[in-house]
Amino acid sequence: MGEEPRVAWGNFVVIPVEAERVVKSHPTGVHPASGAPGPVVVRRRPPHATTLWSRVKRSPAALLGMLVVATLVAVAVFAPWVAPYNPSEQFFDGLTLEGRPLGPNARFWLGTDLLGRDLLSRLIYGARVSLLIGVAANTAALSIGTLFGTMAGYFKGWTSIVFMRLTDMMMAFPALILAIALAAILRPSLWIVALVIGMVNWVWIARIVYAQVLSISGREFIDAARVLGVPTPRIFWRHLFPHLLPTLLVWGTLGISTTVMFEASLSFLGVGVRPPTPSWGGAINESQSYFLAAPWLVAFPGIAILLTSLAFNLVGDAMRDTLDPTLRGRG
Amino acid sequence: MSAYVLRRLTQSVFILLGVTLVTFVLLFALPADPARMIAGRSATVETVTRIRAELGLDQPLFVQYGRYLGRLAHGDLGRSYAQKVEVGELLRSRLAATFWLMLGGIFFELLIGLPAGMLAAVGRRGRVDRSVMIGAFLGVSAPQFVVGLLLLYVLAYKWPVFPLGGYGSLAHLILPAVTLGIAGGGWYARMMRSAMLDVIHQDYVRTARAKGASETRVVVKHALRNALLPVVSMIGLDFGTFMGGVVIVESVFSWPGIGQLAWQAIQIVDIPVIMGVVLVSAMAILFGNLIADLVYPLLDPKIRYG
Repeated sequence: MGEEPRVAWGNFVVIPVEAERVVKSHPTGVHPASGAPGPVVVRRRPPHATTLWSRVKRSPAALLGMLVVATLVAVAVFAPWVAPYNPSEQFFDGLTLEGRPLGPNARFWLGTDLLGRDLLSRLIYGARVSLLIGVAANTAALSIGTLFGTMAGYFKGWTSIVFMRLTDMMMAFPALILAIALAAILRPSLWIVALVIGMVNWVWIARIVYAQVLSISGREFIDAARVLGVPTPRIFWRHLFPHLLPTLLVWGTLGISTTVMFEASLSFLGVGVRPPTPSWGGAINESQSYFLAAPWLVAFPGIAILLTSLAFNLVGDAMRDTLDPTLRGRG
Repeated sequence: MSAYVLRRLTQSVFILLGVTLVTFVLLFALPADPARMIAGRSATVETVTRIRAELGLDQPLFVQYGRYLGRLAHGDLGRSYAQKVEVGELLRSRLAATFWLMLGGIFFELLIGLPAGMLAAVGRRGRVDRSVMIGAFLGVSAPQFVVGLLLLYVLAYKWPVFPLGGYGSLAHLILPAVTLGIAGGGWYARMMRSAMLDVIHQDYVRTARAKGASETRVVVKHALRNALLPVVSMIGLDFGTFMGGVVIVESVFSWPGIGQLAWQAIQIVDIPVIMGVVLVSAMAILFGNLIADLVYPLLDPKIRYG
C-alpha cells in the first residue's frame, strides 16, 4: 500500500523508501525514475538484515516483544539463581493446616501449588521446558518444512509430486489429535515432545517455502547456475537458500509462538513432559481439579504462556511486515 | 468447475487412504499393546494371547491393514475395544455436539473479529486501531485452556451466569463457543483489517467518495462486500478444523464432541476409535479446504479452475 509515493520538496525529490541509505547525491541532474529536475538524492537499498533490524527496532511493539523474549531467556538460563526456592521442594508451611495451597503472599510471591511447592520457582524452571521445546520443535518443523518445500518446488516430475502429495496428506491430518496420540503412547522425554510437535507443525512452512522456491527457481540466475554446471547442492546452498533466509527467519520466530502453545496444550492434557519436571501447561493440568478454589494456580502459568507466545508473535509480525507488507492471512 | 471439484474429490480419496495408512502404521508400530490394555493388568499371558488372536492383532501389519480397508470399503469402521460399540455409532453420537460447537465458535469469531477489524481499518493508525490490534494479538496468543478455565471461573463460578461445563442447552454452548471465538476472533480481526485496507485504497472506493457518498455508505456498501471474500474462505478452513474436534476446549468444558471422544480413546489406546476420529477429522478438513479453495475464484477473477 504505497500511501506516500513521492514528495516533491523544494528542488529535491525525496523518495521515501524505508530504511535506505544515502550513497551519493548529485548536485544537479535529473532523477532517473521521476524525471524531475534539480538536485537528487541517490540511495541504495541496504542488505535485508539491515532493513529488517532498522524496521523492527522502530516498532515499539516489536521492541517490547524482544525485551520479553530476552528476559525469558535470561530467566530460563539462570533459573537456579533467579528462582527463590527449589522448584521440587514441598514446604511444610506451603499448605494451610487443612492442606490447601496458599495464595500469593510475602514468602511465596505467587502462592503455592497443591503439593506446597513455590509456584514462582516452578514457573521459572518451567520457562526452560517451554523455551527449549518451543525452539527445538520449531527448528524441527522448519527443517522438515524447508526440505519438503524445496524438494517439491525445485524439482520437476515425480520428486515434486511425491513431496507435494505427502504435504497435502499432512495438511489433512488433525495435528493436535495426532500429536496427542503419539505423545500419549510414547510417554515421552523432552526431546521426543519437541520432535512430535515439529512433526505435525511443518506443513505450513512447507507450503510457504514451496511457493517461494517455485518462483525463485524459475529465475535467470538459477538457470545460469545450472547451465554453468554448478552442482545441485551448491545451487541450493549458495543461490536458493539466501533467498529463503528472510522467510525462514520470520517463521522461525512466529512458529515458536505456535510450538510453545502446542507444548502447553500437550502438558495441559497430561501427555507432555512428564512430572515432576515443571512445565507451565503441566502446572495448570495438576491444579485443574482445584482451580475454582485457587484460580491463581491457573492464572499465573496462563500469563506465562500468554506472555511468551505474545512476545514471539510481536517480534515475528514486525519482521514479516518489513519483508512483505502485503502478506496477510493466518500467519 | 465441476470437473475441478471431481478431481479434488478423487484426490481426497487418495489422501484419506494415505491418512489411514500412516495412522495405522504409527498406532501399531508404537510400543503400546492394545490386547494387554483390554485384558487389564492382572490378566494371564493366555488371556492376552487369546484377545490378541480374537482381534487379529497377531497377524502381520499389512494383513491387518488390508482387513481394515476391506471393512472400511463396506462403511464398517470396526468396533471399539473398550466399549463393545460400533465406532460409526460412537462417532454419530458425538457429531451433533461437535457441529453445534463449530457453529457457535464460528459465530463468535465473526461477531468479535469482523466489527473489530472494520473499526481498526476505518480508524487506521488511531487509538481504536491500536487497541483492536493489541486485543487481537492477545487473543491469538492466549492458550484456549486458560481462557476457558478463567471464563468458567468468572462466569460460571463467581457469578454463576452459565453452567459449569456440560452439554444440553444454549447456555451450555456459550462459554466454549466464546473461548473458540476469542482466539479465532483475533485472526479474523487482523485479516478483516488488512482486507479492508486493501479495498479502501482502490479506485472504485475513491470514486464512490468523490461522488459524495457518506463514509458509512462507502464502508458498508462498497468496501465491505469485497473485503468479506477472504473471510469467507477462512470460514471454510475453520469449519474443517472445528468439525475435526477441538480437543482442548471440549476437554475443559466436558463437551461430548469428537475431540473428547478422541482424547478418551487415546488414553486407553482404543485404536479403532482413534482411527475413526482421525478419518472423520481428515474428511472435515479436506472438505473445509475445498470450500476455501472454491471461494478463491470469486475473490480473484484471474484464478480459474479448469
